[in-house]
Amino acid sequence: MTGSKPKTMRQQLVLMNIAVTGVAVLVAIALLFVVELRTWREAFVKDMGIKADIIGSQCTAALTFGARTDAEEVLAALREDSRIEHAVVYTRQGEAFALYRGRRAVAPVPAVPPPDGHLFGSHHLELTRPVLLHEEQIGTISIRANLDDIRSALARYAAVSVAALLLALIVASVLLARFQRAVTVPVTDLAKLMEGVSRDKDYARRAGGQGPDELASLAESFNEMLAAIQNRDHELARSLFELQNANRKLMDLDKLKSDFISTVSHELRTPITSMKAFVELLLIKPNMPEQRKRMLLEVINDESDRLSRLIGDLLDLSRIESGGMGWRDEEVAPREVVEAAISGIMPLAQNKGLTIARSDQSDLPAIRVDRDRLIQVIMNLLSNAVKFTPQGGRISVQTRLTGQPDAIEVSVADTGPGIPAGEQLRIFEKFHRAGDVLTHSVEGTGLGLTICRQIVEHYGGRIWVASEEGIGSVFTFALPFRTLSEERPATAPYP
Amino acid sequence: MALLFLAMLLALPAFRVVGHAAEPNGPSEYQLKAAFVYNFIKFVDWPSGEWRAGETFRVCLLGEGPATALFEDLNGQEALGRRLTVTALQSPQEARSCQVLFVAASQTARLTEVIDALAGAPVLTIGDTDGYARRGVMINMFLENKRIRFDINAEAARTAGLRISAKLLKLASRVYNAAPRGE
Repeated sequence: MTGSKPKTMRQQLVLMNIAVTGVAVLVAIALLFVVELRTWREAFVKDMGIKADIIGSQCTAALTFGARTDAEEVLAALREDSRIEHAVVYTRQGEAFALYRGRRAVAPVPAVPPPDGHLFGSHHLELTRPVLLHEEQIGTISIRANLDDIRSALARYAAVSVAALLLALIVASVLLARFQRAVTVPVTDLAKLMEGVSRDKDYARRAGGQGPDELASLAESFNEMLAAIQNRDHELARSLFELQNANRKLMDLDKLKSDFISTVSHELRTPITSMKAFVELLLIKPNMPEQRKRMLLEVINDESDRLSRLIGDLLDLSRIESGGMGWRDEEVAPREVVEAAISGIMPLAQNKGLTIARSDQSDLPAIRVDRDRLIQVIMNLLSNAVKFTPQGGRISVQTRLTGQPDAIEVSVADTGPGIPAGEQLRIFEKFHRAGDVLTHSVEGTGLGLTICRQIVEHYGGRIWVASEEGIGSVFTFALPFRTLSEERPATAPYP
Repeated sequence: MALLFLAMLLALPAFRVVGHAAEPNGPSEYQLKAAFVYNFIKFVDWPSGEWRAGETFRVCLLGEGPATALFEDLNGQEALGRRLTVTALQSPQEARSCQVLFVAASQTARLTEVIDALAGAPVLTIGDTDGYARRGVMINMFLENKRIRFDINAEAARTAGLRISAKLLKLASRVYNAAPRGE
């Protein structure tokens, strides 16, 4: 028990058991011992007192008549009691009159009678009683007895006590060994579980809730803790996943930006290069024929127009993306907007000999939107349609109401070559020009559809294309009412 | 009271050297015998209801002898809670109202008459003459090796309705009992 403290709960319990049982048994033994000792002493004093009284009474005549030998004969009867070391009868005057000495007498006989009563020494009892005759004291008898009986009884008692203590400890230990499982098993189970959880980082495990109330609630708390850790783990994993996604998107975006810059540089350089070449040609050969000079100047003019459109588109795109676009939202009638856009594109269509058909649902509500931007979207779709539709082709514009969610849908259908399925999603990306390879057209900037998508998405809407090669394409965008009627448009794409 | 006190003073030395015969300057043989008589009383039971309250304890003397005068010492002492009175008698018939009758040596000749006169009366008879006990005196003292010894006629005492303590019987040199009854 000294020095090192016990480590395991079992050891603690065993020590507790030993301490509690030991103290309880020792206290019980001590109390019994005190009571027993008192009882023994009282019984011994009583016994010796009776002997003294009997012997004293037997001696009265001998004492009265001074018959010493008779008195000693009477005293000799005490030989039966081995405990008695010596006995003395004194006369009334206090002189030793008759004496008995046992075989084991050691102590000297007191010359004068001790005071009446009894006195315990460590090894003996000295008991003195008056000798009475007709209630008159005629002498004194004093007996000295050893306490060997009591001492051996005490020794026996101590032996029995030790045996009882050992037995109690053994029985208590056996009982404890059986009962302790109710406490230690749940605790060690819990400890093992904790160890396993911390080693394997498996927070899905749960503790069984058996055992005493305290342990059950401990297991419950532990389970709650595990559940909390598990939740946090999940959240962490999810946020990590999201973070990685975001990071990947950022990296993609970064790459997109780099690509964009290099594309933009290339796109800007192409017209400038051709313009510079033609301008240099004009400078070197100032006296070339007027007709040829004029052709070169027209090319330069076209190229500068294209450059200007490209820069305008880039500015629009950058303004939309950076949020620097000033949106002038107002109540707009969809029919009127579609009509304005068609009339804007009509000259180009007529140049190519195309017909534009339109069909509008009659009861379209007004929507709140930036009129110029909406026209820009429809114009872009129409100019693409015009661009890709061969001579004599047909373009149809439809405006209608759709439900769930309530939105206005505008679709522009052409009879062009169509877009391969793999291209259909990419055409809304910057500088991706469908038909580039096919037509070698230099009219598009490659940003028109991107700007359309940005504007539609700004109003919470959606733009998509349905196309079949050799038949034509249908570009459709939908603007939801809900967001349209709101002052501040939602950023979430529709739907 | 003064007399009683003096008597006790006289009695005490007798008790201290009790049992021993007269030493020079010590108590005389008869002083000792008086003390013995006094002590015998303590070991004898008289029939109950025999005495009335306040009655004295009568020690009577019959006959002449060296002892008689010394019984004066006993007069006024207390025994068994009662005061002793010592009376000298002329005839044995008077002795029936005594508790103790000391029969002196002078009565040897008419001892049988004395015993007969006391027949049935609870009177403790004491003597100090050789042969008295055998002849019916209940306690008879004698000297042996300068010590006072005594014989007891237990049969006589029993017949008289007296009970002599076994402790006293034990101290007696000889105890006479009725032959057939034995004891």
